[in-house]
Amino acid sequence: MADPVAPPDAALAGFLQSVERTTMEAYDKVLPQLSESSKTLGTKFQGHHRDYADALGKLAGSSAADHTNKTLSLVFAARLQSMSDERSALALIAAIENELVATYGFAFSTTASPDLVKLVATILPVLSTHAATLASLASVPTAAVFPNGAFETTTVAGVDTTDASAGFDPAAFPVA
Amino acid sequence: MGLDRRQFLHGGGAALAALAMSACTSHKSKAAPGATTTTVPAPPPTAPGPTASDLTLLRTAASLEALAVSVYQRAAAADLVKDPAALDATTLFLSHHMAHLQSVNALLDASGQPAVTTPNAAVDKVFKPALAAARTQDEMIELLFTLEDAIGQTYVYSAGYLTTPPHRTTLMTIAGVHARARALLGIVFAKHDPAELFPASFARNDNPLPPDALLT
Repeated sequence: MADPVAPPDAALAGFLQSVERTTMEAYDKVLPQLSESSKTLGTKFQGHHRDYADALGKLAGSSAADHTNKTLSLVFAARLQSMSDERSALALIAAIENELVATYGFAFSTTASPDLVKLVATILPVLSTHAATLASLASVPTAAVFPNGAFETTTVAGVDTTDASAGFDPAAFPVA
Repeated sequence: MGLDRRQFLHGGGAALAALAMSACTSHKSKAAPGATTTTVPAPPPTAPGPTASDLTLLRTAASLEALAVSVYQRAAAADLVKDPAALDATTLFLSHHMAHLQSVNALLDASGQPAVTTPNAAVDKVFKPALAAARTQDEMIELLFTLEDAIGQTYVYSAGYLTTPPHRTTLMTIAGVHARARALLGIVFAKHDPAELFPASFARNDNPLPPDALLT
């Protein structure tokens, strides 16, 4: 059976699915650091990422990723070691959500599939809301809730980037 | 392929008007309701240049950003927002909308179209009475929350129709910032339960605007 979208977009959907699964894994590590009220919200956000992974998997077809992104998982694991309290945990997961927004912004600028465009359009603003909500819970100053100012970025980068707001480059985080 | 105007206008308007007025009749507002809706037809395939529908959506987006600038300015003039943090935030959001307006007009200019600098009259008809009715900071914040929500939802809707990748990318990079502003207005300043901001996993993609808001 043919994939639901053209091969390059199916691969992109599979990549995004792997990123979503890795983010769900990161929430598993962050949630124990949170107070009950924040934990309830974090669990809700984790559920959103599960829904995104499922929806993306349907478009990815044979490129669907039923596993986490191994390179990204290593990056997250290193960062998660720096959590020392609830505030640092919230700031860390907010930063990940910011990077997801950038990754979806990049996807938007590259995909040609109408179905993937429509799906990504319904995900990106919710990720931005996640990021802002978590940042506000971490008492981040208002201006810093907008890491790229008046626009979300579409910039992606590799493992060694110093650009904290850049998203995840599919070429640097292969779906292995 | 042109946009079917009847399809484009499907379902908009009444919900926005109800939300805008409810912002000024209750301190406890509601987050935007609902899950993703799929009542719109599949978007057209990507085309090499902007279609008439693309230009309509861009003009409408510019008019909504001009409206947002105007609403934030009128909100400031009403002098209801007194809390320094809320004042700083709304001033920041105003500057964002000015940048958005400039950006969308740059897309229109690149397409050989004149800039749109006038607030969307059809949507302003909804917000004008709500602005006049606002008596407290909380009511003004709720109104701005509704404004950010409605414009952001319009861009999610538009993304499904725009055929030019740079156009839909620009609108979505703006929609994300609207979502952040909505979150701060709702959680930090209107003291909503954060969970209320997430009625579903996916953002709504139906048209929230009144039928005559479209600038053809």
